[in-house]
Amino acid sequence: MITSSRLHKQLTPYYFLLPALVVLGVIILWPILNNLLMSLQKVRLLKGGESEWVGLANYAKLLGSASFNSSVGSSLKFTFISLPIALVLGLALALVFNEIKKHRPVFTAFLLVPWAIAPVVTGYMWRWLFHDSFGLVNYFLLSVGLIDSNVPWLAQPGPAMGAVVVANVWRFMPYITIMLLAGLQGISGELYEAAQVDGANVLQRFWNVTLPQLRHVIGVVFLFATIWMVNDFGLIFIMTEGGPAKATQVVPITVYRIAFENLQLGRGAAAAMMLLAFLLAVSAVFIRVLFRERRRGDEN
Amino acid sequence: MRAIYSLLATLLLGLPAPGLAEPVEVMVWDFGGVPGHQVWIRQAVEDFNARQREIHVVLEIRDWATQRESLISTTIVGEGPDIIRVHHKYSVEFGQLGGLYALENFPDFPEVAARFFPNVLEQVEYQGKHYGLPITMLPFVLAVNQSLLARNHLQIPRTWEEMRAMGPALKEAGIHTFTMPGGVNLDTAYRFLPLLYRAGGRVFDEGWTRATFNGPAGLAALNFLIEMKNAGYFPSASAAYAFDENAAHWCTEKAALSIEGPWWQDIVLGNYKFELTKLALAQVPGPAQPLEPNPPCTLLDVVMVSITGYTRVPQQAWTVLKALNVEDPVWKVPNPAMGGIPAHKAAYEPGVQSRYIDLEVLAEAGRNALGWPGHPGITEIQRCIADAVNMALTGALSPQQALDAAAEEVNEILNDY
Amino acid sequence: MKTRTQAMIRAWLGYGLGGLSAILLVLPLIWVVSTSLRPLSEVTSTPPIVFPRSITFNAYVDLWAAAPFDAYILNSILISLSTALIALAFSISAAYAFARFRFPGATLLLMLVVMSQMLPGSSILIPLFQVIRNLGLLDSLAGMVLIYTGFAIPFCTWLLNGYFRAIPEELEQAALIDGCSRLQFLWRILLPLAAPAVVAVGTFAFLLSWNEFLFAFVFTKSKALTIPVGLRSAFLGQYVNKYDQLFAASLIFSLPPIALFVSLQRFFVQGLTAGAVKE
Repeated sequence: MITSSRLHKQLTPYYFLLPALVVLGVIILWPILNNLLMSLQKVRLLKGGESEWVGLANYAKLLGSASFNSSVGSSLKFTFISLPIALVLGLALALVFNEIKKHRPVFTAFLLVPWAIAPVVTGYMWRWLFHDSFGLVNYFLLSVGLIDSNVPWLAQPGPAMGAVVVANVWRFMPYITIMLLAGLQGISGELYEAAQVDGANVLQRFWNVTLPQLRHVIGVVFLFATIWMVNDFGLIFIMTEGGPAKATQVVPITVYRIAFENLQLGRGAAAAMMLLAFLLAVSAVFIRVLFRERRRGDEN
Repeated sequence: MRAIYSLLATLLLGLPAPGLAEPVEVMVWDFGGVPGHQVWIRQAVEDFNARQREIHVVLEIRDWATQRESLISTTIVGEGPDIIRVHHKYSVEFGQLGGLYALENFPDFPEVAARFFPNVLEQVEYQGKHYGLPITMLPFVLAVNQSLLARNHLQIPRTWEEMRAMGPALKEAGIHTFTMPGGVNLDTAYRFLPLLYRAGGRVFDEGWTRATFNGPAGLAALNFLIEMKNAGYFPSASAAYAFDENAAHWCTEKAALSIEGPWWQDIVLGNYKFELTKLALAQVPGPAQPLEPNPPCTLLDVVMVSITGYTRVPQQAWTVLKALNVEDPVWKVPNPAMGGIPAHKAAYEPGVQSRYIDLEVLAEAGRNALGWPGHPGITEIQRCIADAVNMALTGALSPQQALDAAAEEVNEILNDY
Repeated sequence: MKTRTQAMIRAWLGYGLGGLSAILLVLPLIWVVSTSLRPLSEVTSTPPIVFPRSITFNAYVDLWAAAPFDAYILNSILISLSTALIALAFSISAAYAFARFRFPGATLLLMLVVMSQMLPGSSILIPLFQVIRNLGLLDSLAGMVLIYTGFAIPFCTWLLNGYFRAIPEELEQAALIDGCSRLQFLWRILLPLAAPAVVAVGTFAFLLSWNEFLFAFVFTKSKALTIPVGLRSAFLGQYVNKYDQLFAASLIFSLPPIALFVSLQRFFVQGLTAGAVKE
């Protein structure tokens, strides 16, 4: 027999969840649904907003288009080159900063700057740093002798991708470092003491105490960094506008061009839905890993 | 009797006293605009508000780069500003969508329209209706650093062959003959088109059924650019240039020629402290022999001011439109600080003194110039052309391949409509 | 002896490497700083000048006249602080539910929470515009707070969830047995223990609102304009960008978030969990 207090107990988690879910429902539910519906139509804004149901035709058109496929490739390259670099550097930096006990505010203030600067400025800054004749990158490389003439970074497909990756890593470092640093603070000192008593050296303590304890936080940071990097529009757009020769035209830029320049809202929505599907698959993997962790934790 | 007096009194008291009515608010969105223009319009709005009580104009100066996102959102939702200052192609794109208000609705429109040049008025027309007043026109011409030329004993080129011939002498001095934006942005397409038009080419065929910019004229133009680049007379970094970088390249005297318009004079002075005595304008060069039978001309761009289709106060908006953009004295004299030359006939009457360098070159170019074709999908088409030029400049595709690929996409767009 | 030398080495490495990396990280910005101290025409000098011979502060003075930044700052502060506090409150609550309870639909709801991040901004723009307009919240501070809270909740919830999981459950069970309610436990014991994560996540939510441009631009007209919108409309033009003033302004406006973060640093320390289990 379920008493009212027992029901209340079963509903408790839902009470805690309610405020967040209400906000998300308002802000997110309708846009996602709207995109889904639009992706199944052909909407030509310029023909009086007429729309017709075309089923999966938009998806088929996109999958068959070389331009869309190459933008998927660019997105993958951009994300999965930036991500490991940013993670490793961020973790290293977090470990270093964790050792700083006094005057930490000064150091972390420096750390926050790339994150606190307006994104539009980050984009323009890196665009000019990589400029062929006025940029500091070429100036520096020339003076050190690593190159003997100015490299037109943003005018060639390969170097342009390199340039946006550098800018992306730079801008993500503070976020990753601070989140991992917060995670490190949460590791109880006793665990380290216990490991030391057991005779573990620094490396072993890192591997057996730090990393496992940091797993959840690393996982979350990794997941969200992936999602944000895949969906990022502003930085690349300001630096290269998707060029040269579409080398850095990632999927969000393609979505923007289809929806806002060509005014084909249906096809733009379809491209966005495919992005969503890919990211859902990625996060599904993460959730499984996390829940497997939890079950293991329960057994302990 | 008393009843009648009290009734009259009530009626009289109930009537709104003249002059105490709430002013009607008209909201104006001005996207981008050169600094001189912004200064002028702020003052003009202030003066307008000060000299009458019926209308109160609220001015918002907004970001140029994201005007599409802004306008598309307001158009879809049907709520936004009353007057907007935009590029003329929006007349086609938004006109029939209900996004813009047809000016034929106002009885005095024909008289107002007569004050503008006919070929410019055509640029704001779509299917017989006019969706804005064309206030400035921007013909594309050749911007020349004549001191660089003089130093190397060269004349202003009139053909592509002459430009090529200037190459070696300038290259020795470490200067590029010609520069232009070649990045993935619409400025690239806007520099390619004058070259295309000068070679006798056009974007579409007569009936707008297929693209013709990949014909002999377009191919020759693009080949010309690639040859200049390969010979070192044209910056290879151009494929990364937007307007900004190109202007910097020219103003720091790393290049002698660029294809620009009326905005150039004020920009080079204001932002780069360029000595204006070194600046000269000329017609955009074409090939010695045109490659296609269309009359050679240059490209014309137009800025227009429109009333939005969802405005609630069209009459008042029209009054404001006329006051600011037709009657204001700033339009009687071509002023470089405004970013373009006026499309008003009154500005070219004899006796008008203007600060513009080589105004006759601009006026001559504007008289015969042709705009982009007024097709609803024009932005997409401009993008395809810009992409093609960029692809060829990076060497990813050959000029023929790049232009053909773009033409294919454009033909698809044409079929869609 | 050995441990003390080890500790000293660690400290030196920490400060040394930390200082070096902090400087390297900020180094690209030196171009931003030097551009803001020079007239615009000198931005494009060859070779690039990093340390200008003559410095001018004109950009820092002139920028205030370019747009009503005092109003923008106020709006940005109000919106960002509100977003941070509300997003924190809602996310802590939701994260607690996910971390400590097992209930049907948990996986699904967790997925839904993160799904909201998966559409690029341009795809959410128009449908959200319709929603906000129908709610009557266009061009309002409340509307912007609502949107940014929605954007911030997914990450905040997930990170706090991960953090909560690492805190031992025995603490909670002990507290509950002692007669503490869940809310009291959350407020008095769990939150202080999770202080570093709360500060990190609050900073995240604050910065998200502080720097967001696209939605602020499209959804506001005159009353709820924020700093990023002001930066673009004042300094980026159709033909030319006023880099000197843009960079000067962005340096100034990056100070509030940094000041906020620095002032919260005393919560951002290790060891708050040490000894907690003993209590």
